[in-house]
Amino acid sequence: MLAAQTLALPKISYWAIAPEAILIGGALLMLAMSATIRSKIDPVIFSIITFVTSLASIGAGVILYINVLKHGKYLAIDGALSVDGFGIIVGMAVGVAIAIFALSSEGFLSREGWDGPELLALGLLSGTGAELMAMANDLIMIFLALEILSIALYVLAGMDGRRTASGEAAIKYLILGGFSSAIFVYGIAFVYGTTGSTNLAQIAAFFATNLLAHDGLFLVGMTLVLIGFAFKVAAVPFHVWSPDVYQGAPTPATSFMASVAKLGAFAALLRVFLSAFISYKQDWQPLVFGVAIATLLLGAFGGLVQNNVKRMLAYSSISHAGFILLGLVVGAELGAQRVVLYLIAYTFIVMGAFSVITVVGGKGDNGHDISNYRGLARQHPYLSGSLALFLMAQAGVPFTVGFVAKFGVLSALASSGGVGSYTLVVVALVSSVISAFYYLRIVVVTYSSPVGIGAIEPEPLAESTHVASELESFNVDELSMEYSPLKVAVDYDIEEIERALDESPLEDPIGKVPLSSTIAISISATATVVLGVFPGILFALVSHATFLF
Amino acid sequence: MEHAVIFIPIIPLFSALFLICFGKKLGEPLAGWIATIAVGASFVASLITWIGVLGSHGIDRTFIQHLFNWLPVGSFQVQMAFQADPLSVTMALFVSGVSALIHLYSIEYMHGDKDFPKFFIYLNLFVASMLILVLGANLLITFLGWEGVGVCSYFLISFWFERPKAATAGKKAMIVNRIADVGFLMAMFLAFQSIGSLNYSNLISSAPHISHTTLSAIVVLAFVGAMGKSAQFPLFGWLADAMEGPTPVSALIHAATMVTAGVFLMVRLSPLLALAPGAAHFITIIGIITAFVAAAAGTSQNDIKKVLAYSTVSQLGYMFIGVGSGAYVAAIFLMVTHAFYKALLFLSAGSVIHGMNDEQDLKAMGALRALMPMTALAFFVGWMAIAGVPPFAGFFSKGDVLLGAYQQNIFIWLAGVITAGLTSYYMGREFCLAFLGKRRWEEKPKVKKSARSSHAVKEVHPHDPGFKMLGPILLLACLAVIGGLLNLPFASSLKVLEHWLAPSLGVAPAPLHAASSAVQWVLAVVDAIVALGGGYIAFAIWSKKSKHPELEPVFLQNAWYIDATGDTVIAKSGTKLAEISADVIEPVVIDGAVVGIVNIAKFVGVGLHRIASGFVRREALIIAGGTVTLLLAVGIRGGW
Repeated sequence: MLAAQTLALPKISYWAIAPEAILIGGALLMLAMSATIRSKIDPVIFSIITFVTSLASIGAGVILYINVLKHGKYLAIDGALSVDGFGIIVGMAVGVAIAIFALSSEGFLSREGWDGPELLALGLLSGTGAELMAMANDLIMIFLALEILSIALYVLAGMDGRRTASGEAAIKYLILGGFSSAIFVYGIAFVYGTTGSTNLAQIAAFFATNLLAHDGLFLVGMTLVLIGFAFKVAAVPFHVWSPDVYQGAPTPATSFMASVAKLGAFAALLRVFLSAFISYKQDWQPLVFGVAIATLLLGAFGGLVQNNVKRMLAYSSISHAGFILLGLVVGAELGAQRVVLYLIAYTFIVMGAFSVITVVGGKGDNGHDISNYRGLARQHPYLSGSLALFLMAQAGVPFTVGFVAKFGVLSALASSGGVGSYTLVVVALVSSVISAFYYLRIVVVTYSSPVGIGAIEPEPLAESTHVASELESFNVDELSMEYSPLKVAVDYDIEEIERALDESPLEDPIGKVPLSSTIAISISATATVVLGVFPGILFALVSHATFLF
Repeated sequence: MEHAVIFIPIIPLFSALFLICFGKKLGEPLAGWIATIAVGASFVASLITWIGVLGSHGIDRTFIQHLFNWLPVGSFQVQMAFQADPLSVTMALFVSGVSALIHLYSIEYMHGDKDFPKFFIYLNLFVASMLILVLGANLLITFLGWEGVGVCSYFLISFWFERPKAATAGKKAMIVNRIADVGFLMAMFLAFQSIGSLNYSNLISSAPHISHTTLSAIVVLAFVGAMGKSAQFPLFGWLADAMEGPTPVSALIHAATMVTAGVFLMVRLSPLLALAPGAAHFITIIGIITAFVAAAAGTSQNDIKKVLAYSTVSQLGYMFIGVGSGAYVAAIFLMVTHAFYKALLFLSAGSVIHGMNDEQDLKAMGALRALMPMTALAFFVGWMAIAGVPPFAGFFSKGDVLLGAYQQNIFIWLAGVITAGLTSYYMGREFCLAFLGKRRWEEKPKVKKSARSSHAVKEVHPHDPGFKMLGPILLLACLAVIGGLLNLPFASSLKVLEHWLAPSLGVAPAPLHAASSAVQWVLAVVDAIVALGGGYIAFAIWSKKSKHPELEPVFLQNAWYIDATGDTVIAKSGTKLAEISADVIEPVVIDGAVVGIVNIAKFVGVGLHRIASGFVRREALIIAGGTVTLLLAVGIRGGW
């Protein structure tokens, strides 16, 4: 008999993991309820539970944050988690995203008649992963959190059994996600092999005292780790999954991918590269530089030719990923803070936009073609107005938080100096202008005449992935002519149109906007404007977003 | 008490905002009364400020009220600040005072107009802008008011925009002013570049330390701005066209506001101007050309308001003669008295137009003296005052300007005196044609009826207006008579205006040949004789007969074709350029570039589509390819 080795259990600080524990608790509660209660439970109840849970998680985050401000940052659970401003603030942003997700899902669930808690419970679990990623201080921990995040997302993507696109999206996401996870773990193995540890603090300490004679293996490991993250944040060329998956997944799930998944992945990416791998900044900076340029440009150009709004926003989120990567290029704590600022801003505007899109999608979650937005302003001025606000914010129009976010990242980049950084700033600005085109295109369509005359009648795309159909629907005239309000004014007699409308009102595929969606949109819109007008709040907050190391 | 300065522009501004919100509901005549009371209150605030300024002495008479930091951009700091000093208070007093009278007059004049409240919104905004202009403590605040005045003049001149001529006149005023404004802007840029501040106090204290060339450039550029606003040669065409606006607007623009802005600006910058004699000379020459050219044009006009318009241009020329020859006090003195008698003349002309059912042709008037006795009397007083007949106001103020000119250059004085004769002549002609002679309005049947007024009648029954119109006219007539009291030349202690304004003004270099007391008397007598002589000639020629084509040459009717030349040279070629832009540059160059970019975007987008085919195996391959690329990149950098 071998002497029984006592397994040294680490001391667990439950306060440190309170935000995550609360999310898991909420998820378990809902699953237990649906398993035990026989009668049908109204989705409203699940939605409320999710909302309250996320608020509780944010509350726990606030307490933790105050504690950190008072007593300083610390490591928890045997060095696996780093309790610091950066992690907690990103965690709270995740909480906000889940709260808005809970609200906008309510209308979706009721409309589609989904009466299980799965969507919301999986959302909570996935959010747990994202919060853990933000705080994780160990590559293994990051990997675990990444999988918690991802597996829930795979399921979320495939939840809409009625649409084959949903299942297709889930399979695609799963296969490619598995592929990238393998690359990521392989990278961790290399890093462990060369540094002797997976703990970020220890890796940093190792490089502080040692110099690798042959750092080739480490560089390979580092690159593979970077690629693993790049897949999750949909950076080019590891973005290929995102347009299809965004389009196929149920819209609330898409919003979750666009916000929560990116929050977690970016947080971990920054922490790893700015703390553990900071000694190799000279080596990873050019990589990130190249990826950022490719991401910015592809995000801008790719969106131009889309006719599906969800696809368009997929490219938009790629473009945002490019901007966030700029913060990493800065390569210092200032960059990290500006990234956190960007992530918070992005959370509000992207959740707001998807809340509107969820409503406009209509029963069946199919109405995501740009033609479905035609004349939205006439029947739903609030929806179209707030959508315009969110899209303007994404384009970076001043007095919205989107401008503050872009300004923050670009000013940090410009002040970091160097010819390369200015090149990046210029590329970013150009891509911002290009992507403004497709944001404004949606806005113009929502405010144009609802009757189907006029050139903007791209054939509704089947949710296929066929190249041909999209190619056909795209031509130059469409870009240059049809979105011109002038054209509408010249060709059509507005009075006649209005008379026709009065006589036979169009049927409204959207119907009454659910209260919960209205609340979700209002919260996002308020934050977008208030934080845009008073950016000082955000800058003050993120000045505490610092790493432990 | 100087703190009241802030209320001077704010009251009419808020009144305008109030009327924007509630004007339609209040309607006629309440909206008009509110606007009038607001400007009256502004006058009271000016009085209070004046008393406050009187309480201190010398250099302390400059009081600056800082409100907030308007534009903090690095070292470019602009305060929102108002300045109460003798010059600005003088301006504020007569601007708000005369404007208040014009507001009161407008209540009756605009009676029945369908846009009655709107008219008063514009009037109030106009006055507020003008007061901001004169009270600003730095060039940029002045420019703010300057532009405000420009915009409001556009609104007001084309107030009856259904008439194509009115719409065109408004545009012309706007465009000509914009062109001149470039000069003002460049003066500001240069001032900021060389001095680093736009505050008048800093400009004045730093002026001696900057190079002579720069100083002259600043002054000349500012004068270019002033040439637009104050309608100097060759930019005076817009002012004659501006007669298309309602008559109170003409009175407001010509008498109290807008056109005096340029003169004010130059006087405000007089400490700089005093150091730049070359620039001053330039101003004098432009002034004398303007004065003479416009006076000559005034002798041949047949529109009752056009005569007054050219007379205003001519008088502004006099003011610039004063500015250029260092007689700053005389320029301001003439400006104030001119405000009295020109407002008087315009309001009387408005009364005639009103009584004649919108008839403006002098040749279709005549013998109105008996029917409109009060108006005739008022117009007569105005004639005497502008002609410079002693003891009316114009005699003293114009005399001061001519004295200044005489001390600089006797030829300028001579031209000024000839112009003064012309002035007396064309005003006399106008008076005779309108009020004396035979009734000519019954000769041609009146078919034209007022398009907008509800009180349009077919029959013409000339009559004196009601008290709201007549009151301001009579008050202004009194002022036109006694205005000279402000600055009597007989003894140093009687030169009230000169002592009062001294702290605000620059000290011009001593005149080349100072006129002795005896010479001054001689000059005054010459002035009086010329004024009376011009008037007598007019009376002799025009009181009986209304047609003397030989005295109304076509080239003078067309104001020396200066406007037409500008039209041919600038407007026509500008149109040509615009056509080239529209027909060639726009479609080929700009559209070409845009379509090119669209094509590139399309190409890239389609290319991206082809790559992103949507098949998992292809996507996995892309990811793998990206991985290999990044690893290779690291490898190449690492050198293995």
